[in-house]
Amino acid sequence: MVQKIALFNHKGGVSKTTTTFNLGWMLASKGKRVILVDSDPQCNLTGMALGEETEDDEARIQEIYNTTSNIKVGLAPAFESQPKAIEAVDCIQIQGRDDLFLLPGHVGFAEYEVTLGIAQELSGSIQALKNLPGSINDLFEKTAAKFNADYILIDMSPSLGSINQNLLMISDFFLVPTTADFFSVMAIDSLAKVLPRWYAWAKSASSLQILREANYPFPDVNLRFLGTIVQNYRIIRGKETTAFQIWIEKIEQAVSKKLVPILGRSNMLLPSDIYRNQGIESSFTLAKISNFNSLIAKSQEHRTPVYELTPQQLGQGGVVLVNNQQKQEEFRQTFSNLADKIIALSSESSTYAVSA
Amino acid sequence: MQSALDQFRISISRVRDLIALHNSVKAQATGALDVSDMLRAALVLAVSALDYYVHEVVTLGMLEIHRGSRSEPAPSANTTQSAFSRFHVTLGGARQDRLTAIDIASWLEAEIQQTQGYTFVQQSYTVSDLIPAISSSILDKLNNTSWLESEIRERLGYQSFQQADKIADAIRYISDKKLWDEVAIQMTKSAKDVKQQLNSIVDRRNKIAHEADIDPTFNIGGRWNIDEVLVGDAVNFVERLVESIHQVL
Repeated sequence: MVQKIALFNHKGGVSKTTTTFNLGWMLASKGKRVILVDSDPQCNLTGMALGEETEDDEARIQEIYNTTSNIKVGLAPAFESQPKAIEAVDCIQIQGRDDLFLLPGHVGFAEYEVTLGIAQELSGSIQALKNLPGSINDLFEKTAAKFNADYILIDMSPSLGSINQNLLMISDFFLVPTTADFFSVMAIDSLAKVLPRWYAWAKSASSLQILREANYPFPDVNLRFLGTIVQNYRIIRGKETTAFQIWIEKIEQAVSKKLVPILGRSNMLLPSDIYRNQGIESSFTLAKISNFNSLIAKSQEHRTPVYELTPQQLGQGGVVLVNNQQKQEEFRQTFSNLADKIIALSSESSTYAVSA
Repeated sequence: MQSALDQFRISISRVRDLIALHNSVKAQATGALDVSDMLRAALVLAVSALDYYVHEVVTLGMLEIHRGSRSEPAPSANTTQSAFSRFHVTLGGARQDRLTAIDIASWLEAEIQQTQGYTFVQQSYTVSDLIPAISSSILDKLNNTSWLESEIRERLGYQSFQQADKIADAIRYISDKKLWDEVAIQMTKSAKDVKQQLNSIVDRRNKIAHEADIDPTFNIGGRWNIDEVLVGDAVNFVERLVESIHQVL
């Protein structure tokens, strides 16, 4: 059974896309079959995975879109009431990494936001649009079955729209990437308000007869919080700066004091010993990732995670190269630990679900 | 039951003609003329052909079972009698044969006179000479199931057989095979996929037939998009589906 992991924060610019790419690659290198889903109409993940450096790249990407499916085309049978069923998407194998695939995004996916919003009102409009709320889940499940995937990582857009509401509530787990600053603390507060509402909505949606009997049934809610990933802070002499340290603490306070208790009340946490076994503290910080600095440009240029860049790809030598390789090793360790935690949490939770 | 399939094939070829007509008109006219409703009609007619096929094949199949030329389906797991055996008829319909029995002597005389001629009735015969004449009359009478046919048609007439589950319910009157599993084998797909595909087609048909095909999103009366490729694929699917159902039966 595939496990769907959403990377969600409605505040933009918190490195959701880079994290999705680097984490997915790491999971695949640990022997898991992973599909990266680009659900953000900005399509940054798709650009990163397919490579968007030159004019020639644009032509190549256009060719890919002309010949293969993507998230919008995959959902069109439901959203455009076409007289045919949803089919699995032909995901694209990501260059340089076996077992890692991309379900490409589409700028036009945003066109479906309003229709889905109406469909999810659970009221008079439901009869006409009953197949929509379960359609995204159906597309993911069929695609995962076709590629025999262990994980689907969903890179979500920074918004609180109906598409994100749906994506998050059909997921098995979610991660909250965040940065260490004032606005990210605001975002955590905001999540603490929104998530219980979404959960209540999903609970009633999954128990509605009409949605259960739809062509694409809305699934039971089974969403669990994995934790946060704090990133992008600057390091000076091997330590985060004092200013960042303060904001990291504020984020951790907001998560443990506000967000987590509310998630607990909405049944969005795993049993606490499962977190404890992984050494996860009450702040739920799974990883702290410092700024990639100059590595990020190289990473995008070569469609390769920061920790996998070769000296040739870095194009550096001497002290600069040595320093960068040291950084790379730290990032590798960070993402490796993060991947191990996610594998452990998701597998422990499935044994827990069976025994519960 | 072959006639049900023949009828269906005629209906589907008319649907294809309509799509071709649409393509031809569309090619000759400018975009100012919206001919897409011809495609909507084609889709509704394709589903209608399927619906009618199921009605026909079930009616004919039930009559064959009643006459003894087709075997009755076995009861399903949680029932003691087959769906066929549980089919209700009215006493009015069932009484027609009784009325004959009440007045059997004069009926026989009239019947033999009609089939063998007036002179035949004027002579005397041994019993064994008479048996063929009598039994063919009675057999004709028993094989006349027009009363049952009208009962079945009336009962099924209120129902539509389009959605996968409804079709399966109907087919249970004449067959105990697991319809969608068997059809799926014929179509080299999974049963779930076949049902989902059919239901997607029927859902869109319902939007056209009952909701003017209007997309409620912005409340501005826009219609759901339709094109000849979508409808062509749907028609191909419905056709393959019915051919497969007929194979299974």
